[in-house]
Amino acid sequence: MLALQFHTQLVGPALVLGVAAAGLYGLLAVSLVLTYRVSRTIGFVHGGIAIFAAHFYWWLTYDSGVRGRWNPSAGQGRVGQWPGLLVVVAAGAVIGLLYGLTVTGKRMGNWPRLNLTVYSLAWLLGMVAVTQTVIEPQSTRIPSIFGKRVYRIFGGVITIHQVATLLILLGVIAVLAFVLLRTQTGVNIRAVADDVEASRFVGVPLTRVGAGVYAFSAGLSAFAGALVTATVGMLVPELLTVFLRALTVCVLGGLASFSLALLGCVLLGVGEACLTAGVFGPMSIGRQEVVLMTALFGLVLLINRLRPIKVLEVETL
Amino acid sequence: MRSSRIVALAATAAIVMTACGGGSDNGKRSSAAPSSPGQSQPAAATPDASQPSSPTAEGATAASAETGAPTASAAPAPGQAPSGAAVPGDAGTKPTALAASSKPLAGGSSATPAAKSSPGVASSATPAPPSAVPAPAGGNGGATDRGVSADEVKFGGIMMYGWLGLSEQVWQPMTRQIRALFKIVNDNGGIYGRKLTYVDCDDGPGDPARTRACYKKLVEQDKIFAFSAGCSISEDQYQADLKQDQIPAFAPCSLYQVEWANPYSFPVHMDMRQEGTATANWAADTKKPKTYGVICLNIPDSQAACSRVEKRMNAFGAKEVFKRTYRSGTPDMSGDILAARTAAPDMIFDYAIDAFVSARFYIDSQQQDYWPPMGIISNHKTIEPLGGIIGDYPAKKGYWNNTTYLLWGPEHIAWQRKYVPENKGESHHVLQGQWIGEQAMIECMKRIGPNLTRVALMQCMNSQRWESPPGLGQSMMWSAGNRYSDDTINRKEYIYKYVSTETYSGDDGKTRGWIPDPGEFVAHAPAPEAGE
Repeated sequence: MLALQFHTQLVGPALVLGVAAAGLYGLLAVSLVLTYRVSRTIGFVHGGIAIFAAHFYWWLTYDSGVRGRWNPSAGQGRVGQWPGLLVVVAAGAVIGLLYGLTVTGKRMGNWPRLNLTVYSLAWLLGMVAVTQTVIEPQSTRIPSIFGKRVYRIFGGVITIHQVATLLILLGVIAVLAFVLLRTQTGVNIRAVADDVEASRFVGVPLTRVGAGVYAFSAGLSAFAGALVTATVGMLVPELLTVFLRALTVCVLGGLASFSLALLGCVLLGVGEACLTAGVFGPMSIGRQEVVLMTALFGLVLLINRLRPIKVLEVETL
Repeated sequence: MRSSRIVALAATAAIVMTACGGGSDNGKRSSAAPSSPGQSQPAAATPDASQPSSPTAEGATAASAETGAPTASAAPAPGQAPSGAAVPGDAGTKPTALAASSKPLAGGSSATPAAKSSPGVASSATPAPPSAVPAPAGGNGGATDRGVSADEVKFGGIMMYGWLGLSEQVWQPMTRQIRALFKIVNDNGGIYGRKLTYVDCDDGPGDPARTRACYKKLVEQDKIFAFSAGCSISEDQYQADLKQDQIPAFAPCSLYQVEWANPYSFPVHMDMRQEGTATANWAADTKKPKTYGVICLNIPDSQAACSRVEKRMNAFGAKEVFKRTYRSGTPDMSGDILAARTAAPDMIFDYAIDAFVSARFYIDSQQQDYWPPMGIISNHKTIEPLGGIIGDYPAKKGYWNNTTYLLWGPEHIAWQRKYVPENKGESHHVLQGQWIGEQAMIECMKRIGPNLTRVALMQCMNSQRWESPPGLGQSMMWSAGNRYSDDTINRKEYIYKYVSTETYSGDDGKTRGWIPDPGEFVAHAPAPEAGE
């Protein structure tokens, strides 16, 4: 028997926590949507870039090279947090550019999308392995680049880091919307997303557009990876969980809609917060996952009814 | 098409190779890389420890000047192997001549918390390393058992180097420690002419499949004499195999009750279920909460420990109002903190043995500005780097830890500083226990004589009560019927209060981050009831 409870006093705080948590997944979700729109492949590589970025950011800004870091006053780092963040984003963009050049180049450009997806997955796993081999982190949370301030809203306490991440996410989406709708680059990207062959025919520089999108989205993933170290920490399983969650919420919009991906992030964050906080009564971790994923995919089906996936996309896959 | 097949194959190979790798020491810290299942066996190498020198005599007791090993009572005559072919652990191997109970080293009784004045007993002498025993004139008998030859005794251990990024802080120190111990013995000629070698196998994040593969590799391919040290979350996977193959395991990580129940296993810290009872007794005696919460990990012994806490606290009359079971890798706990705040337990028992699950809970608690009014008591988070992981918020709000050994043990720390300097800042409760257990094992190998067999070694280990140096404050018995004896490792442990992030040890074995709990420093647990 399902004994459903409802604790109204927890709803407000859970909503606040959930919305704040949306930023955790949102930046990665945007990267995934952006690359899918251009390539029609799932960008698993972004997970690898985020994990690499988290470790690289730790190495740059927190690791002082002292082994056995039991001394809490250690952790001077090699560079400051903001310069470190810039370096990490740049490194992520370079990796994304390299990846983009390979998948949009002459050799691989015409590969079946399934092959490209597997290739992307191999990059994810390879980057995780290389990262863990080259950088030996001491698993910890890195202090937030935005400080330690907290805010109490409707009984829920959120940090300035969560607020900043959410605001950055909204800013990125707004900028992307402007670029896609109002600039020539955006027109080119949309053209490629709609019809690759026609774009090539009319002279859109596919390699440049594709590689550029990969570079930008990889930089965004690296940025997300660095930010996530302050909330999730640096353990690979946890970082992978964040990435997979981000991938899951993208499904809401068929991996092609920024707004629906953002909605997915918010719904996932709120759903998670409500379930873990006990709004509906105590619930085991497994049951929480079942409820969340069932709700999410139910929503996917509903949205698909309202806005069917294009036949072209189905045939492509 | 061909190129697509090649790429697909390459991607598959990359996936497989990546999945099989990761987490193992790449030889930076010790001069031999650990093997993984399927890899060819590397030679066990000795660490780059400096040549050990004789200990100073200043302040040294007679016992510590001789061996530095745990003391023993009713020792067999030197060179005389324990007689009898009884199955280890049965009634025929009860401790002998323990009417004169074992006397700890001068300076304190293991039953008396040395920290009435201050944690640890100051000692100006480095414990002497285990001494070697030369081969007898007529030879040592050669291959007296599997894994033993005329010039070698081979030990093995399974280490989860890939678990949660704790390789450097937790697992590598264990490997370095046992290799240092063996090197000291080997540099002095070994035991009856046999050098001690150690082969470790990496089971990654404690993947049960890899653990079992490691076991097979060490036993069938490397043909080890016995297991020693080693630490894996999947240690329970091969306990039945130890019994079936009749291979002893000395000083394992000791996470599971099944290890205490296995006569072939010689664990070195308190059974987690007993810890649940001990801390619940402490809470009932000192805190007297009306309500409580528990945090558990989704592994059987953590769940069982939580059940013991619940049983004891319910008997005391406290009500459980909050409970969470986590898996390793839980990314965000802010919702759980909100639930905890709403449930408002007086105190919380933390039995999530994964240090990072606990740390996440504490850090999210800090962000939410929540802490139970009577504090949190946590199981076995006594690792030197803890302060840097959890910060000072728990110190301000009330945080305790139960641990099997005193912190940090001046003899243990002095030995580490001298013989394994790379372990500075990386001591922890399992390292302490393994230091004792491994030295007892070496001591027994000397006593048995050249006719070294598994049975003889186990009989020797079972033959008496073993006392740690007083700075560690424990004793243990492994013989059947005595594993839960009063005033031994499964019946008492220590409760420390966390007061600052300076949880590391000074050179004198003292720490500023932990103080003995002023209310009740020694927590006790009765022997488990039948069926528990």
